Amino acid sequence: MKKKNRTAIPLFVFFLIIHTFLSRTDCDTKKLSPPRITMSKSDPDKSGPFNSSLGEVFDQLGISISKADDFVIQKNISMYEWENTFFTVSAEKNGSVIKIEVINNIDNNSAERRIEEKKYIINSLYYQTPSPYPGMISNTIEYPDEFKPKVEYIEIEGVKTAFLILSSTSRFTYGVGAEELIAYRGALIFIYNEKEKKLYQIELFIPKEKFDKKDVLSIFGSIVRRSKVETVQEKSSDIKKDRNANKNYNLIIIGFEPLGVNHTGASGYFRDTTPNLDKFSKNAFLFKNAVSPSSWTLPSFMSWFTSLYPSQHKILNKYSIYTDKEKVFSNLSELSPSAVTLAQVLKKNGYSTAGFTGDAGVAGNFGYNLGFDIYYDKITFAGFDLVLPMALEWINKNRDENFFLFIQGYDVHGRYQLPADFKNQFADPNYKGKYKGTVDEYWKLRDLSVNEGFLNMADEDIKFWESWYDAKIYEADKKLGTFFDEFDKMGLGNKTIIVVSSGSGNEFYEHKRFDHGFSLYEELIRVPLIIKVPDKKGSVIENQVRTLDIMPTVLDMLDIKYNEIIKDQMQGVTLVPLMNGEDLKLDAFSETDYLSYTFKRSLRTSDGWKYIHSIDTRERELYNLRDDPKELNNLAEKEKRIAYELEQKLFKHLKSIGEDYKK
Amino acid sequence: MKKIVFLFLTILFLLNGVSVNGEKNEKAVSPKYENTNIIFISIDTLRNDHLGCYGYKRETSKNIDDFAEKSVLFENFITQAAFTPISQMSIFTSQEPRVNGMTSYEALSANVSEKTLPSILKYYGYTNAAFLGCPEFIVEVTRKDGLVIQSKKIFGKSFDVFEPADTTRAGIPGGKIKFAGERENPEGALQWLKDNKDKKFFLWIPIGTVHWPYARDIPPSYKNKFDAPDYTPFFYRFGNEQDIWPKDGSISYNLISHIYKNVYYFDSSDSYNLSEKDIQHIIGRYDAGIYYTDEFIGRLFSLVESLGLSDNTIIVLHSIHGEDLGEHGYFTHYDIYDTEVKNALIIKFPGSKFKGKRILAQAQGLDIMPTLLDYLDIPINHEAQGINLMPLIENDKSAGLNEFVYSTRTPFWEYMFFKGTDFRWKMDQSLGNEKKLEYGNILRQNFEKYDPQYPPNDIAIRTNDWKLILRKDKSLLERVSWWSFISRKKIAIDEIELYDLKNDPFEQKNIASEKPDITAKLKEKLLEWDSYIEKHKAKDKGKDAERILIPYPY
Repeated sequence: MKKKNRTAIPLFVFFLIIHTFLSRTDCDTKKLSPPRITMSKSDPDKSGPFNSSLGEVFDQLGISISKADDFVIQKNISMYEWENTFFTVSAEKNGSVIKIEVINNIDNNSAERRIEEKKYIINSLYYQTPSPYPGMISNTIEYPDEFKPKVEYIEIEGVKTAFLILSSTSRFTYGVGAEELIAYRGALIFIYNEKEKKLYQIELFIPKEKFDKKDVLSIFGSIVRRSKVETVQEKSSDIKKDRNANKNYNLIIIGFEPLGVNHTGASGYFRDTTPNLDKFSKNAFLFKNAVSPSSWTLPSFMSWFTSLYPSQHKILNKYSIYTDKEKVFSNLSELSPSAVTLAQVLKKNGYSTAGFTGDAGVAGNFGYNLGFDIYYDKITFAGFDLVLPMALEWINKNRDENFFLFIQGYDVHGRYQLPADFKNQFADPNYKGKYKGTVDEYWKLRDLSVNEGFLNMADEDIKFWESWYDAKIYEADKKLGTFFDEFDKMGLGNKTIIVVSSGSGNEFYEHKRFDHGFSLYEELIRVPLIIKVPDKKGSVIENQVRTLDIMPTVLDMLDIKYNEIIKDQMQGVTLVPLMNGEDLKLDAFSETDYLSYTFKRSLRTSDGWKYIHSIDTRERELYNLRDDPKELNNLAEKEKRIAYELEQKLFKHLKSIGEDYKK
Repeated sequence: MKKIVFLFLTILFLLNGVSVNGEKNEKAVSPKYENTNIIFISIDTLRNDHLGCYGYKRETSKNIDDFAEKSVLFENFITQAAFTPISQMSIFTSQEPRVNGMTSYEALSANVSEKTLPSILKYYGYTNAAFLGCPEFIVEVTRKDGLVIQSKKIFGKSFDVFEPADTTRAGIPGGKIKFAGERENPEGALQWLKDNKDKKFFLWIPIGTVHWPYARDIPPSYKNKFDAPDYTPFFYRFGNEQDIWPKDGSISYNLISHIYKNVYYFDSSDSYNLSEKDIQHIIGRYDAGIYYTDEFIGRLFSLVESLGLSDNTIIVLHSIHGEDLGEHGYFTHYDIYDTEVKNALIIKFPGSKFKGKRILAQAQGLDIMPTLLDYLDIPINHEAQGINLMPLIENDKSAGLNEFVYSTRTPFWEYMFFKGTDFRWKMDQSLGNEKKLEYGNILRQNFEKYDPQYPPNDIAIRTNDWKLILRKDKSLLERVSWWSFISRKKIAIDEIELYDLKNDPFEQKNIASEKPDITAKLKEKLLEWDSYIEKHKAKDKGKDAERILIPYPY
């Protein structure tokens, strides 16, 4: 019996070397800028290991392994190595583990060199080595052949590719030479994606008793590199319809958040904050009186995509249950399993669908990702600078499809991290107040608003914060302008409907608070809504509409056939008659259960009355918006009949959507 | 299935019933609230089965009977409580006592719901006037011992005119009391009607002349109307030296509070078994009160007719609660048997539309407000707990029905003694001071621990066939029972009482143990309703609920 266990020491040495080699790269990361793309964010709210499947990340990896896409991700790491980003994903299924290492931005030669290096390292683990104690135990340490790596070949995308069959320990290390130390048998393969400039090292670890070479072949055989050209070629075999006969428009929905119409050109704002949007509106349908069904991100956007009121789709707060004992994350599939989203409808009708967003209130796992081929939400409170380029890239890839694209950015949000060189051009140079305009300061003001119920702010401070908001709007508008230019260059303008809106506005002390969500006043629920329709000149529409109407409107314009279920689901109406010059009188109902701190419902009538009912405190507010647009004069005790009738109307509506407070 | 159909239809008809800005009446000239007056007659302590139109053999109510022939009469009208202001407030708000906040006399104005029928009518331009022949609605008490009663403040809200009937009474030592309009015919209403016939009005006329002391406050010619000839009231044999009885044979409070199960207990030693003639005398005086009230109502109706208001006035006549006349051993309103909660409801529509209609399906006190509002084309308050009876009246085959109605025994009579709202037992001259102390101790020992909350209520569920009463703490009731105290007998009270109303309309035989299935089913329904009411109880204003903030999504 050979002294197999003596291999442990040289093995250890080798691993030390490799470890040091790899660790060095760690130190270098400090010189580089933080990653813009991470494979995963640590989400403190998700308990347990990641439960997303490998299939969900293949798009980012630029590769797909269809036989392995239901492996559940265990670990993601991203590191830097000079200019290259270095990802590792490790996923598991029934004891088998697959590890994928991806090096980005690596050219052909460097990749070849790297493969050689790696192969050398692995092979060297099995070389005959001189014994550390020559003469005493043995002269050499040798591996039995059966433990040495074996080279095999497989055709991947028509190319004969070599791979190694290897045994490894329970800690996934190679170079093991004793049967009892072997836990896995598996394989290792290198794939280089020239178009994407990515090098993949894919390792498979199968528990040795289950090991079957056929599995390895099957898994490796299902490897497909993804790249722009590849994707198109892939899809071309899927297209059943004749592309040329395709007359359906594309759809882009762009969401600012939280942008109130009161700070845009459409409302005659005193600052020129949205020149690009204004220009865009000139050839579009500009809705001056659009009302959101809620006053903050999470419930509002879900209403766009379902045309359901918040209390119907039930995505009212981050958690649906939040007690000491239980914390249950809100999810559309669980809370409203029968709800169908716009993306799902369009997908079913052959659309390619993608969403590029800033996470937080539109995080995919609330259910926003339903129906989207790609739903990007990796950076929290990300803005247009991140998502617009991704959107353009995706449009380019999908230009020959019917596509539905959702873009959302938090550029105007208080939590948006401004670049260090950001200049607030609207700032008053004579401002002598204490604020600097940081995210922390803003968030403190918001917390105070929630805790105290009101703030005590000096005029100059209010103006200061408004100027920052306006500056952010200006920048976001500029980026959107660039996006529109780029988009126009692609020549898809004549077959794409573009909708621009926002989830809610933002309060700057109009009712003595900062931020949004805690009330249903005008500054929060009046949002921009612009719809650009190919071949239509557009117009300015003063009639009151709701963002709840977006879904029925776009489905109407896209001439999508949808069934009774969806028809019954949609609470909104199509605005096409308005766009055709007809008249429509619509009431706007809104709700907020913000953070479970307040529970308000409101009715904004088509003739300018606002009735707000607080379910928790039973407070009633009535405002005559024509005389009192700032909502400072509560007429509930003066105009008792109107207040009574609007209250009954509001509760009749609530009852009709299943919210019977008598229950 | 039936329940689902019922609920669905109720909702359907509630929605149908709601019309904003008179959309329902597109064809009609204008919404009815623009030109319809309402006269709302609330008669205290009136047993419906002592009215001719409800089958009484004695001629106590000629005018009301005539009126009923032109009206819709509800045979099974149930009120939600058996005490005057509590029952009336549940009618005016269409909310259960616990929900509207008025569960007893001491309710504070700030804690009672403001959305009453008169307040809503006010929004629609009605002039609201009330002439009160019942002191319970106009009492204002602020006593040194802390008792505060704000009935006037509570009931007077939304009224432009809120007047007592014409006489006043002296105050009671120890506090500031305005005891105006005690149990008189509200003659003021007649004059007001003459002066204001051209206004659009809501005229509320509560009448208390039927309430005990039976026939004491009515003119002599009426008092003796139903007296037997040659009869000397039995109570003159007791305590006559102290001159504690009214000279005219009237049935005073002190008398009835000492009669239990046809035995009159004068004091600790003396007791007397009432004869049939004695009982008839008591009932005769009760009926005399009805007769007298009916006469006033007759004059009221004639006036309405002569002023030409019959075709544009809706007249509601109802009893606020009933009275037990010995069926359960006492002559008062004490519990929630049908004698006390099954009441008169007669509605005359303008032009006598629907006249002669008799409705057997159960109606509740809670239903009056939604029904009137719907008739007037005013949107029904979403907080109303009653149903709209118009579809039933209009013979709509798919009208929603009250399969179950509920009553709550709030407050307990004995609790009112403890609280001091009812202080008459303390002035009872036939009860020695020692006895008063003894009873006072019993009250304190048993009720103090609940203060300031109320002890758990008795609750009842009723269909036209069955009545189930659930007593949440029957041992408490046994310990504090006034009747037990004066009769010196232990009275066994059942926790659950089930009555077969078809065969035992006076609820004499508790068959709960014989019909376990029905008992279980009704009990379950009752408890379900009770927890629903508890959930929707009026909250004390100013209490801050603890808030748990859900984190923002990031």
